Amino acid sequence: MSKQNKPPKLAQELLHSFLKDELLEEVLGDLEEKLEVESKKRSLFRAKLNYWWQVLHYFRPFAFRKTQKTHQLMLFRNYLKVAFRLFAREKSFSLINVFGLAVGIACSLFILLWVQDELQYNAFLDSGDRVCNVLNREFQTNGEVNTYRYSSYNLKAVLEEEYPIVEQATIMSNGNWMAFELDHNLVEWAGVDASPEFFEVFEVPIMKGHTSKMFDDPYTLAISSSFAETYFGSDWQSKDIVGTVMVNDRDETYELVAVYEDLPPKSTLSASFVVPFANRIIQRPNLTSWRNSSSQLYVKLIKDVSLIDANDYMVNSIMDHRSGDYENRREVFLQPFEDMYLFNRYENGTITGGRIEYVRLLSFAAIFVLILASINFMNLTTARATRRAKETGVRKVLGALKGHLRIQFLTESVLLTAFSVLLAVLIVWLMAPYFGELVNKEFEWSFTWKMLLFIPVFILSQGILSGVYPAFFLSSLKVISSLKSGMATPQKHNGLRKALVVFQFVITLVLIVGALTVYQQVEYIRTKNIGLDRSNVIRSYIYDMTPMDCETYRTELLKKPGIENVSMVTQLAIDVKNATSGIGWEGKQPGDRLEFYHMDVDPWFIPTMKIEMALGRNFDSRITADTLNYIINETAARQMGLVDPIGKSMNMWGQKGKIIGMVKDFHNASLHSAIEPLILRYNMHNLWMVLARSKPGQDQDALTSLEAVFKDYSPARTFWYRYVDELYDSQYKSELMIRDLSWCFTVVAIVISLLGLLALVAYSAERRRKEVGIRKVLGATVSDIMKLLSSEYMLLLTIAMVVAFPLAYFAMSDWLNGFVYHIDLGWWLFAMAGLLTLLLALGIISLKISKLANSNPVGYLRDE
Amino acid sequence: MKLGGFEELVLLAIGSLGDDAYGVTIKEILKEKTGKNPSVGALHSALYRLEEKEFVKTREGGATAERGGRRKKYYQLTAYGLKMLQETNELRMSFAQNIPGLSIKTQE
Repeated sequence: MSKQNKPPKLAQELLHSFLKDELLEEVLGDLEEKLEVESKKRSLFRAKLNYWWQVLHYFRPFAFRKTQKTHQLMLFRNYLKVAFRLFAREKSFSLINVFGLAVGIACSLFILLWVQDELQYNAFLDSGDRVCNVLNREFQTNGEVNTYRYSSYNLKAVLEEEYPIVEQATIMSNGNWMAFELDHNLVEWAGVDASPEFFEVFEVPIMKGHTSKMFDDPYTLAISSSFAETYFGSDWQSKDIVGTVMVNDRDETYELVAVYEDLPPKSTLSASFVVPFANRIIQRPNLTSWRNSSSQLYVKLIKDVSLIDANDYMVNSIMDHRSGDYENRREVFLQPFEDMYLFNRYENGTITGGRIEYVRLLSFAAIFVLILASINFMNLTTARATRRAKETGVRKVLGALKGHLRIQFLTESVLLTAFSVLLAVLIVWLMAPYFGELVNKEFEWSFTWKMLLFIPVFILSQGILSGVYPAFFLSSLKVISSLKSGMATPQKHNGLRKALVVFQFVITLVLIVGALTVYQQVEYIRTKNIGLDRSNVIRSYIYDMTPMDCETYRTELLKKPGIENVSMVTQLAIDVKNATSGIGWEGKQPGDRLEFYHMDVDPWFIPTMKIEMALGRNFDSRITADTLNYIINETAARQMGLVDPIGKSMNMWGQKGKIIGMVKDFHNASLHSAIEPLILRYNMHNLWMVLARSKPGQDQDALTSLEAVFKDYSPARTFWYRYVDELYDSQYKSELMIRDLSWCFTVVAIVISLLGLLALVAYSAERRRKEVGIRKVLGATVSDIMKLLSSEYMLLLTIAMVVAFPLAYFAMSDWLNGFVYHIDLGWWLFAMAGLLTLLLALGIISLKISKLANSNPVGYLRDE
Repeated sequence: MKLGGFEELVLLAIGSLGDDAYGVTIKEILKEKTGKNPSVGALHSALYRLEEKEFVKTREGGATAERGGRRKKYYQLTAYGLKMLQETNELRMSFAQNIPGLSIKTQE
């Protein structure tokens, strides 16, 4: 055969690469023979082309080489079979393993759901990174910097006109309540007064009508679609409702100009209706003063402006434009709308955190619990796998390579992880409603395609991560030693396992201390004497009453059963929100401009709330001059620098009077912050909140009485009430949630760690059977043996405590420092955590070991 | 066990080639008799199936230079294969006999 007639090399290689071995020789031969014939009959080129053509025709299922794949598949099947047998043989061990991991994963999944939900807040805007809330910081004369989420109405025009980086701005009130009559009942709606740019800045779709009219006419109104549905029926969209004149409970008339889509629920904004801000200005002309900073101002920046630049640019926008005498410097800075929910705490004029801290805290806890569960899984798998040294040895003798063994162990761990994940998903699915209750959220658990993609990836990565150590450790064992002893226990691996146990208990101990601290602090908050008696007090509302009405309302209430005392106020005493710097007093230095919180009260506020007087006297309804007088708290007196405040003259917004009394400090803000200086003024105009103290044990009577009198005065309205101690607790919603969640986490961590310990002890007890037998034969008592076997673990626990306690101390002090009023981290907290862990661990250990220690040594000394 | 149309042709070819039935000759005779030129791949696929169904058996023959020193794989009808051919043939004949105007020629 001539040299040129050699078949094309590449085609031959192609055949080699895929064709079955048994076909190869025959086919290559046939093809070459054919090439020879063809090249003689036609051209060599045609023959080669034909050769290629024929080779490509071997791409048929029958011709493909399968051998390698089928081998692997067979091995893989064997791995699975062995894994399932192992599962069946060591049920409790496997169940502990799967269950531990499943609980850990479920726990983390819950937190993931929660975090995801938290992150969705305020994230609905397309240009979310450009919409910002305008914040103010004011530099006080005493060095403090106060931060406000509110700005002056005048700032809007300044920003719009003088700062080209502001594309749009909208100003809105904190809220506006209006009631409209529907079927002879007044239904109350919460809305806002907002300049009509509101709809564009917040990208609110208009479903009907136009908002343009709102720019011109202050007596117009836009309502949300759910408002429209309630008011006009479910077929409102087909009705011609634009232009309807709506009359509210204050007899104000509004023309309905638009219906907008309901605002997203996961938002710091909420409004069932929007009234032009111009309307609010008509009602409160002092809003147009630079002194009044009580409106929320939002701006939408133009594209490609960094927040830092915008802040630098706008910082002096108030100082440059306001006129009049102001001593205090007031600066402007921006917070992205998207951050408003999670970053809601300000200190010294900067954004310092807030809810985001809980998101981070819980994310960390979730990660730790997952790590805990993975370590557990790793430990258990390794412990169990060492018992399978004989199997590994035999496999190696039969020709298994390290890689094969690794794949076998990884397969097993992935399989176990798959079970765990499925169990975890089941747990989450079943428990989601309860968890939702715990964190005050509604979780809808739906399987999305993302999840379907995520679960296998998670199973694989988690399975490989937690299986990689046992896989590598076991595959590297020496054949001879593993076949001889049937066990393999190189010392260095024991060391690592111990370190992992220590690590597990460190996490558990930190979580226990954390949970105890949170529990203590929350209990402290709930039981703290805050300087007034908040129990048995019911808050309800009154509408549009003159001072005379208020007094008769009160007298009527007192005649009814169950009512001990009644007071009417403008602020909830435990959460006073109004502050002013318009205060003057005897001895005030010219530069002093301090902020004072203030509330208007009637003369019965102090006795009703059982607030103690430190000096002086309460307001007296018989002394008309008292309406010009003031009562302050101790903090206010201290800040004013008055040692004996009684009789000193004082003025608020120019209204001159005297200080006639000083109340002992009570907590007028949450325990996160210090008691604020407070001024009480006797002013019965504009009171709207009723605080009624019920006689002990007569809550129900008191409620009936309150509702009866309320209905006499406002028959068409709904009677709303809340208990003041509930309102107090609701100030600490996040803390209560954290308390419950930290307990859950702690219990999960304890369970996982103890499960791990249990399995490890069981394993080591089995390994040391022979040793125990010999010791017993030589005269060791049961307690000697118990001591011997448990001392190792006690040592590990002690090490864990030494590491965990300082960690926990620092972490929890940091958390407690977020409260101005907090408990001290006592040694007993740590002692309790340590003792609890120790006792549980001891219980678990002795449970396992006592069986061995008490057993007859003959049983396992028999064979050698 | 079924016998496909192309498989039957291949089986017939193997039978008619006697001792000299291997890839190249089978292909040649098929081309000669049917006028169609099956690809080697298709042919092999059929041979493979026939072998699986045990209609043919194989033996390895000597290597020749024109094959690049590779051995041939000879195919041969098994008794079962022969029986199968016979059955299909009889089936055809039983139909063909009853078709008026269809003349059956047999070569002696």
